[in-house]
Amino acid sequence: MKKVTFTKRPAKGGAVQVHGTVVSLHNGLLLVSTGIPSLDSVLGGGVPLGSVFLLEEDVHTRFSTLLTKYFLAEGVTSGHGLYVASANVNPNVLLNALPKPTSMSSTRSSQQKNDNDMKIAFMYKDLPKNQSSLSGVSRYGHYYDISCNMDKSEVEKCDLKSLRLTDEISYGEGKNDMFRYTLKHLKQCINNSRYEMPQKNSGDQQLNVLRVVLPHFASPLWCGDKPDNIHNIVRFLHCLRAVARNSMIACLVTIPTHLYHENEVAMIRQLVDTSVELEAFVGEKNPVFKQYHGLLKIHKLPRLNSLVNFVPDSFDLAFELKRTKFIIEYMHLPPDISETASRQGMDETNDKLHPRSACGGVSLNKKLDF
Amino acid sequence: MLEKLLSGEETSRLVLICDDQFTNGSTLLRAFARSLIKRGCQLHLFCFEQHPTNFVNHLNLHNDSNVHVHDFYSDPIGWNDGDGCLLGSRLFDINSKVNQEQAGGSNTAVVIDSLSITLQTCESTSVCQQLHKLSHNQRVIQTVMLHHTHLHVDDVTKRLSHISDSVLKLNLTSSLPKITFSKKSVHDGTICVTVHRKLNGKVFLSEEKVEILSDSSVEACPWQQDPLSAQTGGISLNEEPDVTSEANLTFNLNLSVREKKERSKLVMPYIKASEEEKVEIHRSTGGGGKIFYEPDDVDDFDDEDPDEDLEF
Repeated sequence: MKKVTFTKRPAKGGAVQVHGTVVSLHNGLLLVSTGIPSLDSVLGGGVPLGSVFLLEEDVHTRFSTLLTKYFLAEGVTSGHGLYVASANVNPNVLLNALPKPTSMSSTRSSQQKNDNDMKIAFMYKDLPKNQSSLSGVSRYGHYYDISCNMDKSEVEKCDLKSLRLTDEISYGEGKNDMFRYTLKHLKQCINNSRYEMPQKNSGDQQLNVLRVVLPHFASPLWCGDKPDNIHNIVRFLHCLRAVARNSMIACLVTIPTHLYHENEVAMIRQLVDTSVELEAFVGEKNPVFKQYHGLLKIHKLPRLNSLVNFVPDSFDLAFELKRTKFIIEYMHLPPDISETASRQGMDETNDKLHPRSACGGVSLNKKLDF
Repeated sequence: MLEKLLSGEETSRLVLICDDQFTNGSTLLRAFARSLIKRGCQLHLFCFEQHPTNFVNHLNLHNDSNVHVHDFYSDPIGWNDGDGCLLGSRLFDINSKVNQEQAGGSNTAVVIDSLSITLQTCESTSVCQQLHKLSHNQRVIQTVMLHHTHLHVDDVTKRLSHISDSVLKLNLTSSLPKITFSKKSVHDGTICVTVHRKLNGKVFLSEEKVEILSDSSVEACPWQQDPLSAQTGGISLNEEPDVTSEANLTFNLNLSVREKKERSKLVMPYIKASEEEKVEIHRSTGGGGKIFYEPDDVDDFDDEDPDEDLEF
């Protein structure tokens, strides 16, 4: 006997369901959140899986460090694996200081109720639940409170890998091999923990995303003795992109591009998929920028499998850091209400003739000029 | 901000003092050295540009036991010693030297007289790496370095600023270059522009006028760029003739008091029209609110108006 009830066919192409990711509305790629919802919307939903996201650091690295922390914190709340390779800072220092997500505890109780409600909508019982089993808060994009640190236990639940590049590595094999060592280590981690892109579309596989973070990459501490550092950096980024395309990883690389020349920076931007530059204000006196902490400049947006990429409404973006949110806004000119417009000869005569009434006379003295 | 850095209120692991051909940063360096000794640190002094005894004498200390001098001035390339190694590799031993001569658990501080010779012989990235390692050395609480920006390319200064926690740039008050020595400008002094990055990432910028007294103590007061003096190079405006003075005109542009009163009494034509309207409105409303409705011919006036049944 045939089944009468309607059962949905499995989605064509074996749509991969990975927690913490969302399918892009523009081009069907799997996207991963940066940890900042407003940055996600500017980039077209998030960072595509298998791409390299370059964050060009502000001069004092205050905000780039913060964005790195948001990216890692988002990885923790989504249950992704984390990989940090750093020559500057001890990776554990970075991992211990992640911001805490706001409103993390609320949804566990609501999850249990859902199982009992399927008496009427029983057709939908077989559909995969959107909420993952991990923390219950796997909706895409979270807000973080930078004043508190995330619990260490939450961080340790994730698959953590870190690499600290020290002198032993660099002096042992030659200075330029810092890059090579990092690549080799990254490839090993990907192979060991099965973050490779699945060859077959078997729906039962538990796929996860590895977030690769390279903070302060290409700073003077990464570079070798020779003046042709840029070639090594360029080669590394090329190989990194190749590794990224074949694996379930999303890379965040921060580079202090203010230390490099224009043409070198252009070469670096050529080899990444997304490039965003932060310019922080220090002692800025321009009144237009009063409420913002800096400018956000987009140099490149990802275009992985389409002819046209997503373009935000405007490229004049500025950011503001609040305790619980990192806000990116379109900059606009404030309305031009000139305060000195007044009509001479009017002021004294009006008062004498008739007293001001609520509806008529006050507006004459108001200094609004349209 | 400068005084806080000197006294140790603000912790800063790596302090970079930048000067140029017009300013002298070694006095400020000495001030830092002096305050570090006062705080009870073991000071490691790396002298490249001045004779070490010269430097130490200027510090005016009572006892020199806390100062360990590493003399790179007398024999920079090692001709006399015989090994003849390049100067650069000697600097790389900074870390090991500091760790060697550690007596007990007291704090250590490092003062480097000038980075110029090292930067000229070695790659700036290597120097940056060594300095970074030095700053992260557990025992060293502060490293103060002097850097002459006019001897190196901008890139080098940028890289050093990138790894430093505090960058102190010394400028002159007058922005015009000193071409003549005969005319002394009225306001002459040294400004220190401090950019300090705290451990939590916040950045502070301050501009202060600095005066270093003979006993290496520093007086700093906040200073704001006076826009007038910046343009005129510190020359007071009274010396120049006032171009816009009206003394040479044959006609009078100002109004006398009586003329001003007359002007305010003058009623503009557009006021009259609005006044009449205003007066009418005032008479008619009388404080209440009445609607005068005169139905046109076309309007239906239905007595059985259903709207009256509505209750609000």
